[in-house]
Amino acid sequence: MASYYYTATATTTWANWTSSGTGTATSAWTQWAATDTCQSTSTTAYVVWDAWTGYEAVTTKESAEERRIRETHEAEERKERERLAAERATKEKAREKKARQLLREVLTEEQDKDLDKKGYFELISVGSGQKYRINKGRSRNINKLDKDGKVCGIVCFHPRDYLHDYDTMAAQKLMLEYNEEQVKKVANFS
Amino acid sequence: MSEMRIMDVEAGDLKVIWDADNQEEVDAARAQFDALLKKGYFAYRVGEKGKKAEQIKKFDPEAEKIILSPAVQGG
Repeated sequence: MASYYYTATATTTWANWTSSGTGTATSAWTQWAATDTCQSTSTTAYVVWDAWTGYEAVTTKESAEERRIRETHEAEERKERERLAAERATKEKAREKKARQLLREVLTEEQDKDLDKKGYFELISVGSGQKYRINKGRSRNINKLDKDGKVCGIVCFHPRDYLHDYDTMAAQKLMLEYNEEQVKKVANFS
Repeated sequence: MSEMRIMDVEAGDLKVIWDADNQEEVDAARAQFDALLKKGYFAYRVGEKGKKAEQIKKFDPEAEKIILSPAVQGG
């Protein structure tokens, strides 16, 4: 059997064990369980730990009152987390509603219908006549279209601020239509 | 009444309204417009339902609606 030392930490115990023993966890456990009083099928990690290190594992016993206080505290925390989540959801919903309304105001009726129906809308740049498609999203959501309306590339740019996706799409639409030169300066094309 | 819509991370967008005949309101809106353009915002004068929009670099008190969007970057 491999020799072992009663030391205070798992690291040193393990180091001592493996440096003087056979070196693997499997063989160490097999030897231990077969020759010592602890049996792998009938013991717990605490018992093994106690026997191994000579130190008793510290377990705390909670009184009924302590348990009641802990459970009350946990319930309060859970309730507060749920309240904050609901507040965030409400705020996000209001933000989305406003952003969708603003986007609606900059889209033609046809573009607006396309967005609801297909998840994207198309536009033509006023300066160059180039056609683009803006899909729902914030990044890598713009396609460059060829003269037949087929996708021939991806254009990637978005506002630096982390706006709602609908606001981002409104900003992208206005830039591509009326400020395409600026887009060419900053966007990545692939 | 004219309005300016400023895209905003927290609020969705902020609305600034002014009466073109009220110089005080026009000045306040113009100051806000100029400050945002200095910060890199782009301004567009837009018509109804996505028609007749154009980029502007100077505040137009007679504009029906102006939309301001933040500076952009490549993705």
